[in-house]
Amino acid sequence: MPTLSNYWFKDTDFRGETVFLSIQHPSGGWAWINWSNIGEKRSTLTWEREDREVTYDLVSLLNNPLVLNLIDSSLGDAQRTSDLRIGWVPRKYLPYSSSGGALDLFLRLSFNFHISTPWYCSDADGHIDYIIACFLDSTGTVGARVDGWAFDYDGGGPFCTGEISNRLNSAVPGAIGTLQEQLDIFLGLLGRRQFDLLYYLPGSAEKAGSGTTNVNDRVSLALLPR
Amino acid sequence: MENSSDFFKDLLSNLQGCLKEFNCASEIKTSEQEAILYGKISHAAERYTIVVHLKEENYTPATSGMGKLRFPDDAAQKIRMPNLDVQTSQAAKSHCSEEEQVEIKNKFMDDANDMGREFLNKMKK
Repeated sequence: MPTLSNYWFKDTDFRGETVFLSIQHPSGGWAWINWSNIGEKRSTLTWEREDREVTYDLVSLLNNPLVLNLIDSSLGDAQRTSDLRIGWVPRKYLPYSSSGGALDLFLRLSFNFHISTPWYCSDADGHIDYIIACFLDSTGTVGARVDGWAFDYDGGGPFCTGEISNRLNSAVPGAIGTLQEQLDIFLGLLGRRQFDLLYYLPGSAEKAGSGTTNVNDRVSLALLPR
Repeated sequence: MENSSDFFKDLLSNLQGCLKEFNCASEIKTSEQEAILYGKISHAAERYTIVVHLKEENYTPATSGMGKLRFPDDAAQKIRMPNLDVQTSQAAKSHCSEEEQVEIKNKFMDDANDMGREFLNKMKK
């Protein structure tokens, strides 16, 4: 039986805190969803999910010691202070300008960091983001590429922000090669199969019941294999 | 910018030399638009801290950065990205029965398990 998933987002353009509910229903019949009180929401999405859909909870998949060690070893002086978050971000909200469909979806891999400074400066705390574009090519093969990067932090004053930013401007893009390499290894294996559709679903892509998540921080990759 | 950096190094090296004459060991750190000299000195049983901060007058350090990678234009034409636009048909719709769909999924999951194991093995290497 297909599953109807309904998502309500706190922010416009399908961003932020997300309330979801999924329910199976017979083909050709109604799917019933009664919301008691959806609260203050700015956008909503509904998706009918086929039985052949396969999903990967990206947050669970990537927060394993092998990936974390790889990231930690490429951070230089910065220390990672959070788990990895993987949410979606529509093109119009990327931290840099990008031409294409305003609601094309990118993945944002992000984590918090801390940089210790000498005694005359305050320590810096912030987050590092990598923007990843996943896609299907014309043959139905999955591909992905790192599209860009960003960082933002507080602290480092009064004298150290220049040096911290210089180091991050070098280290953050410097790690893209390693990240792309791992994507290529994974996608090289997935490339043995062809798919009709690639899309993202909020949270862990639950197929039954309701709950809350934050689509900025957690999405699942969904594929329809041929 | 380059001129500033050279100037900072020159000026602070001279200051460092003067401080050395007072037995003050100091360190210098420079970036493109600012520089710091810091050190500690003792005199008459008292410890003193010296910090010299140099920066271009109009320079406000950024606490954020970003960059986009460049790809050939044709790469963008060949791909189908997930998006939230309203589209009547993006995928080849499934024309098979529910049983066949489940069979397709099960077959894929067998492959996926092998792929997962292979990926972890490659990462470990």
